[in-house]
This record gives sequence, C-alpha cells and structure tokens, in this order.
Amino acid sequence: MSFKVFAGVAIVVAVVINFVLKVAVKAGAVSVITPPLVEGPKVVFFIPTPHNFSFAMEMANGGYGIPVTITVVTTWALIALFFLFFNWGLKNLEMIPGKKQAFFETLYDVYDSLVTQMFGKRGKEFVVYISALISFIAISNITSFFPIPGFSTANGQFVISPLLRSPSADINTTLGLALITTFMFIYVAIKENGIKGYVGGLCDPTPVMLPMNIIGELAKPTNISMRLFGNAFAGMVIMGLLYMAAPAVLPAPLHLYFDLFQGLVQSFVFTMLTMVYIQGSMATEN
Amino acid sequence: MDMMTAKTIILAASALGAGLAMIAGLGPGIGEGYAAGKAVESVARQPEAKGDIISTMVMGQAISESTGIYSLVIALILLYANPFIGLLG
Repeated sequence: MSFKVFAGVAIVVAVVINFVLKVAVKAGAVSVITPPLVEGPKVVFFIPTPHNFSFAMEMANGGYGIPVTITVVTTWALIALFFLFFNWGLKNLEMIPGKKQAFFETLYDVYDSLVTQMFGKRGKEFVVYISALISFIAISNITSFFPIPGFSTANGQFVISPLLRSPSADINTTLGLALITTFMFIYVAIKENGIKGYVGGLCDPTPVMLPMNIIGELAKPTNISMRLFGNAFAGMVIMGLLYMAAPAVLPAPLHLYFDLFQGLVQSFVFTMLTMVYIQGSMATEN
Repeated sequence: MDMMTAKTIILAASALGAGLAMIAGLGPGIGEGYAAGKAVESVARQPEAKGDIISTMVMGQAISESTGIYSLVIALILLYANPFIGLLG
C-alpha cells in the first residue's frame, strides 16, 4: 500500500515539474538543456594535496588535488544505501519472522544456495564475498534505472541531468572488482597447494607452457572486467543515442531491458565466473 | 600532407574500424542463439531440470560472449579514447 502511495506521489511530482518547466520555457523565462547521456565520468571535486603528491591533478584555481569522480561519489551513495538498508532490515530479529525479516531471510537463502551449489560444504567461506559482490554489482547496474534528477545552472541555462552515474559503466570500478576476484582465487590456490604447488600448476604439462598459462591467468580478470564494463557502457551509449533519436515513449520499455534485465544478468554472470575461477583454483589440489 | 588532412584520415579510418569491429557481433549472436535453442530442447525433454539448465546456459553464453565484448571494447576505444590521434604528435 505504502509503495503505491510513494509511486503515485513520485509520478505526480514528475508531472508537475515537467509542466512547470514547459510553461517556463514557453514563456521564455529559462532555457532548459539536458546534456548528452553518453559521456565519461566527470570530476566532481578535488581533495587538495601538496603538488608533489602522486595522482595529483592541477585544479582550476591552480592548486593541486586528487580528483574525485562521479563514479566514486555514486559508490559512496550506494555504500550508504546498503548500510541503511541492512541496518534497518537486521534490527529486532525474532524467532517467528515478520514480513520484513522473511524478505531478508529469503535474500540470504538465495545467496546461500548460490554458493552451496558451487562449493558444497565450503560455501560458508565464500558467502560473504559472493553476496557482497552480487548485490553491489546488481545495485550499481540498476542505478540508471532509478535516476535522481539533478538540477544545476550553467551559462544562464537550466541543466537537468541524472545526479548519479552507474559505477559499473566506468572501467576503474569493474577492473577493481576483477582484481579483488583475482586476489581471491590466487590466494585460495596458494592456501590450498602452497606457493610451490601454485607455480607448479602454472607449468602444468611442461615448463614450456608457462607463458601460455600466465597469459591464461591474466585473461581472467581482463575477461570479467571488460565484460561488465562493455555491457554497462554499451547499454548507456545505446540509450543515449536512442534519446537523441526518439526522446519520448520509445526509450521507456528499453530501459527495462538495458538497465534492469541486462544489469541483473551481468551481475549474476560476474559472480558465477568469480565462483568458477575460485573453484578452478581449488580443484588443482589432486 | 598537412596536419588537418592527417587528422581527418585518422578519424575517418577510426570510425570505419569501429564499425568493422562490430561485425564480430555475428559470432556470439549465432552461438548464443544455438545454445538457447538447445536449452529449450532439453527443458522440453526434462522440465524438472529447468533451473540447472538455465544457469548452465547463461554461464556458457557469458563465456562465448567474450569475443563480442572484446570487439565492443575495441570499438569503444576507437570512438571515445582514440590512441592514434596522440601519435600525430
């Protein structure tokens, strides 16, 4: 019931804002532009540093600072969202679950069955990482499905653009996640077999194959990071081009495919591939 | 040849290259369609194994999609982060 009320209020607010803007534009009071959706992550602000600091970039006013892009800001917002959501959900747990607790238990069951069917009894070791990974990627992929309108002014023009940008449409995020996964499966392999066993596994049939195996190992993070980035960014590009060609009606159902469906499938695929890689490094023990 | 002409040639060739790279989309399309068809066949034969079949199918399709994704990445690099413009100096 409350969700229906919320959705109704949101729709009414959107219609009112649209109407007010249209009237204002007709009257010539303001001119509204919507910037193109296809663009790289913008720098939002700088953290000032001394100028010989590594990663520092020159700011507009001549000082030096570490650039903080919209990707990072969105990631912070998602972290805050996760924190509030799970804090709210895991308060006052009871033996006989209510609606809210039943939802969270179902969520846990989904994650648990996902790792159990892959790792069997050892799933408990990885459920924390896998559940965090799949929920973060899913949420960050569908960020653009729930756009928060941001208003600003530039050169006397009124600019409306989405406040947040999907973090997975930035190569830095996906490569970072892929490197965590890489660390994970190499760590598991070394823990299972020892460093000798791991290096021995790399020159598996003969030592001649060592370069090929190293390339194969490097291909894993490249593969998963490029896949996630490619899908998210391509979805963004296609939607941006579509908004240029047909600004109304047509893009709405396609958001369902490119943002919601594609995003959820890709988060599942990334997680499945992570689990396959971890399992592959576990299986070399015999 | 002056700088302008060289830049124009590079930009035109990059646009063509991005388009040509996406021909690689053919392969994954055919392959994934084939996998989906086979999955439909096996679900029809054994409906109780639907969950397993679907997750295996998605898994395999994701891996065979790699080549398509690589070509997409090349197209995106040519369009948005063209390395050849920098070579002009």
